[in-house]
Amino acid sequence: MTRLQGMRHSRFWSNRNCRYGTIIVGLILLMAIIGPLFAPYDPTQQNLEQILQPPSLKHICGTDFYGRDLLSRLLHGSRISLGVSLSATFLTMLIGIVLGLLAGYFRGWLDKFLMRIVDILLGFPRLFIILLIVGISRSTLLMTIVVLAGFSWMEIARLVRAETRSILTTNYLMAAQALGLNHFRLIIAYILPNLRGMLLTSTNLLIASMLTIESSLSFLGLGVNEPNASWGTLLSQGRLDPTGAWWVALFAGIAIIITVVGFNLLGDGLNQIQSESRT
Amino acid sequence: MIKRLISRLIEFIVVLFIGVTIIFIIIHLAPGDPSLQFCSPTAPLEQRELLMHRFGLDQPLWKQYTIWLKNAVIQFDFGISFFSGKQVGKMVRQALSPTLLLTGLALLFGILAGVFLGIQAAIRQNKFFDRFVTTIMFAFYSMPSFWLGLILLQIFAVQLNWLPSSQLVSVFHEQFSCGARLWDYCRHLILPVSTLGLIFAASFYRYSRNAMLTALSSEYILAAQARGTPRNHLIYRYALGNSLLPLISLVGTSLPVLFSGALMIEVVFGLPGLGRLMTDAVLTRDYPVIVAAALLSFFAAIIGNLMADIIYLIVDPRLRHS
Repeated sequence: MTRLQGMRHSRFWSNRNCRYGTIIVGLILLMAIIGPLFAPYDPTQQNLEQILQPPSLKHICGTDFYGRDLLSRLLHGSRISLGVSLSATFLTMLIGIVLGLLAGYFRGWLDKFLMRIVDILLGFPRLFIILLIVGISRSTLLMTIVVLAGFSWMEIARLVRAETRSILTTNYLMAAQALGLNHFRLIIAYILPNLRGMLLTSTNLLIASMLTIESSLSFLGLGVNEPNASWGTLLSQGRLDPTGAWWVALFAGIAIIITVVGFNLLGDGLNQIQSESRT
Repeated sequence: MIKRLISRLIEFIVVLFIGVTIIFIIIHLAPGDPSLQFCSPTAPLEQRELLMHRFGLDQPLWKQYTIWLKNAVIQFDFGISFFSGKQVGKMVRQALSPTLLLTGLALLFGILAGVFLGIQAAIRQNKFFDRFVTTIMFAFYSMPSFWLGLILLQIFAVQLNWLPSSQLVSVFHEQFSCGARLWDYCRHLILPVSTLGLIFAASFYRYSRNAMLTALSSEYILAAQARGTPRNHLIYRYALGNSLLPLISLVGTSLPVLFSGALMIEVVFGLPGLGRLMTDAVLTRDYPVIVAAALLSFFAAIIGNLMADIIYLIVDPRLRHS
């Protein structure tokens, strides 16, 4: 068992995408966890004598419109950006897995009903609907997370359903059924573990897309409210003054891109490992 | 096969209906009051009630809904914007052409560039060209479109001052000659189209490279190779033909993007398109505009899927005969 895990581990690490993805994601998470402790300034402290300072030794990423230190705001913003996208992803996965398992395992009318809902929701223009609900209800962070998840779980549910159905035809599952295990045991101990690889891949890709959507919302002024700021909010402040203060939008954008690249790499790599082991 | 298309069509109409109904309910149940956009919260209550009456918001929800539905279905009348007082149908139609122009060009660019580079990279797998293009495309793929827009705007419009930074036409557009007008459009569209085009190209690149790699490693290619099929023939007829199929459905599902995908780009570049109309309407609670825009984007999604179905039928002989 340990030897098998060791092999798995090395295959994970020898995949270039996985390796770089893990390093980037690890660093980003570390930054979100302990970064704010090292923030050189108070992220909300305005200093009107030092507005719109370009990057320098004193302010590594420059200062914004109110003289707030951008590096500190970026470090603190990472918690909000990552917090929103991680929890939205978690909720999405939860809904998607539960409904996908229900549809795939029990079939029948429940399957038909759930898949019809999935079809309808997939026809929705996602960004616009999210924009609409978040914009019109002047929402809180929690609401944003719920809405993001509420319109993203369908693809996960579809994948889980398809995979569940194919697992149901395998011999080991039929053997388990013949043992007389109940539905719950079958799902938890026999089906879910086999979905693991696929779910890991989707989780990473989902986090990346959540981060992008969250930053779009914040960019439009519908996300996090002042004086708190996610990376998207910082980006949108860069738009206020496009004539000179390029650094305001630049660094927030780079932070977003690095994070999205990290999660995408990890997702792609996991996907490659999976398709390799299948063939 | 026709039967399948018809059943799809019916399904789509149901989606459209449910979608619009949900939008309607969301909008009208959401907290907040559009009349507050026009008068201060301290204004006398009668004044606000008058406004609500004028907008028809004093009616119960089901009545507002049936009135809207009746007008929309029978007369194609989507009401009057709370904010500008114009016909909503007309506003949407006016906003439609800049959006379609922008997204159509960008999608075209994205497909051509993405698919071409994807094929070239796949046949040179793990060579320098492949690594290089894949890395760059991965960066574009991971980039928020609006950020790329801001950066291009900063470089080409602000620093270099080569291109205009916003709007679709110059202030003196009307006075230009025909050729100059066209040039004016081009200058204004270069930045937004290339921004969106690059983002599209990145996802088409990923997709077509993967599809091509899968096709190239399959057994019929090996068999054809063994028969001595020329390399070009092998790549462009055998592998490409088979990898184009999933690509078509990708194009089909990205057709809704024609209407709503440019939302962020339009906001960044200040283009008077549908995306900006939507965002402005959401921010000012302009209910009739929101509903009409939502209807249009649902419609777009549906048309996109339907077109993908039809193209599939045309391209894939297996489907036609079954």
